Amino acid sequence: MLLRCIRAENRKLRGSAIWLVFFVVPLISCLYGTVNFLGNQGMLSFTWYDLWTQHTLFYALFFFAPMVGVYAAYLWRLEHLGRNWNLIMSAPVRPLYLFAAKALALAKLVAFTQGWVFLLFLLCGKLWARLPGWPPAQIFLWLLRGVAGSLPIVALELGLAMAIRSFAVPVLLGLAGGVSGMLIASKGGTRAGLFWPYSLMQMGMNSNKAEDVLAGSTPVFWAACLVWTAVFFAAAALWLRARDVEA
Amino acid sequence: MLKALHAEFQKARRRRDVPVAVGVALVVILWVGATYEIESETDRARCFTMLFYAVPLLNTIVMPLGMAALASRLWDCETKGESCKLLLTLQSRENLFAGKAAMGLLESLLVCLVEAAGVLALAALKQATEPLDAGRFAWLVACTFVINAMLYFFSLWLSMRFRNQTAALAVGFCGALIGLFANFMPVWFSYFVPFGYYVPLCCVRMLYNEATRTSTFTPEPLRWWLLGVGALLAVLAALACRRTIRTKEV
Repeated sequence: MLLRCIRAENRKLRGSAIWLVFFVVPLISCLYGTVNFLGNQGMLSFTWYDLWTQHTLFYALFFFAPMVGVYAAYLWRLEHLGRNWNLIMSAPVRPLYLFAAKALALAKLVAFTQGWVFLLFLLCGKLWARLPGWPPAQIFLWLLRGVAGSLPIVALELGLAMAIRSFAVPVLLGLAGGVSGMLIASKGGTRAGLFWPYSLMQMGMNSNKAEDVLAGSTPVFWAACLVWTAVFFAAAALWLRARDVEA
Repeated sequence: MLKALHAEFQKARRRRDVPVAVGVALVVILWVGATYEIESETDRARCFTMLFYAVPLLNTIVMPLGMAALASRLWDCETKGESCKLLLTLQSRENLFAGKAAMGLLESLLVCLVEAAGVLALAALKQATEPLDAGRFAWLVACTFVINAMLYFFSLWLSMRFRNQTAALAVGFCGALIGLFANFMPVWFSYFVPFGYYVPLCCVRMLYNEATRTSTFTPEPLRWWLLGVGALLAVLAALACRRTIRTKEV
């Protein structure tokens, strides 16, 4: 049954307007990042590391979480229209399967987005900036950490979009979350950031520092990602158990 | 017209629009408060100047999405409730537009007033010693209101044109991203990006000295003509909304 739910979610994504967001947001970020990188060579060094910071700084800090908010709100929109909520509540499918299927579809979308970011980073670095050699493997690791760090945001935003019928509010909350994540990680340091779901992706991507902010705390980071994702899944399961059809 | 506005008020109360509008302004104020540490005597003596610089910069990131959210909610309730047919046939379309426009402008005004109150509260909290320049303060509020109104009407137009609210929200935050980037480009470039008009309309400029790692703030001439362009774009976006409502198929 879970597989059928996943297939249904995938079908929803086919040909949807969401792909425009997927293409455009990283594209704007990479265009600006490369222009800024080439224009500020007095302050920046001509390396893949500095290009990475310019490419992903604003994307990871402010725009990733609202983007996931848009993805999540889109996936729940159909269920919030008309009487569709009653339909899914009375369908012979465990409601948590529905949430899990949406979470998987969203996680896939996020992983693709990260892949697109990396592809643009490679293309801009090699063809536009003409950086020597290839990016260090460490950057690829940061990208993977970004995917892991995004999982709690995926679960949280999906939960918010499920509980709040409005399309716009989860997106706004994503923006507020992104800002709070940046402030907590920058004011409280790595230790504080690990205790706030919106900071994890930003720290994982290592987008505003040349040195690795998670050096020495990588296992704690992976554990934090796992725990936060599990917490939001559990909260969603409880919420769905308490919800019923609306007459 | 008054009946339409009354109906909009009732819908807004059910949608809880006031907390959303207040929340949008609070994000900016809390962010400014947390980011700009005003601790030394020098900083207290230029507290308002720093706030007049910081608020428009952060407005560029928050407001395009905030206004898109408010506008999207205003029209999405009709889409979700399948009430467009009733609204477009049982009342004058002009009244419908007037009600939505007035409601949007009031919500935009609420955002500006909360933000203005937040600036004063922050200055009091940080123990500012700089006297408040009322003219520049009024300029900040006026510019924020005009640009918010422009973004609001543009987002409302997108919400009405596309049944799916992804368009309005996605354009809102792509606009925020482009607006933010435009502000790090030469100033002439930012004139072509209305989403980021908050910064070229800012009455203060910051100069950062890389060698000493210090920032100095200098007054910037007020760009009345740009405020006029912003107001004109707001009117054009409002007219586009009006036209969309008038010509919408039932």
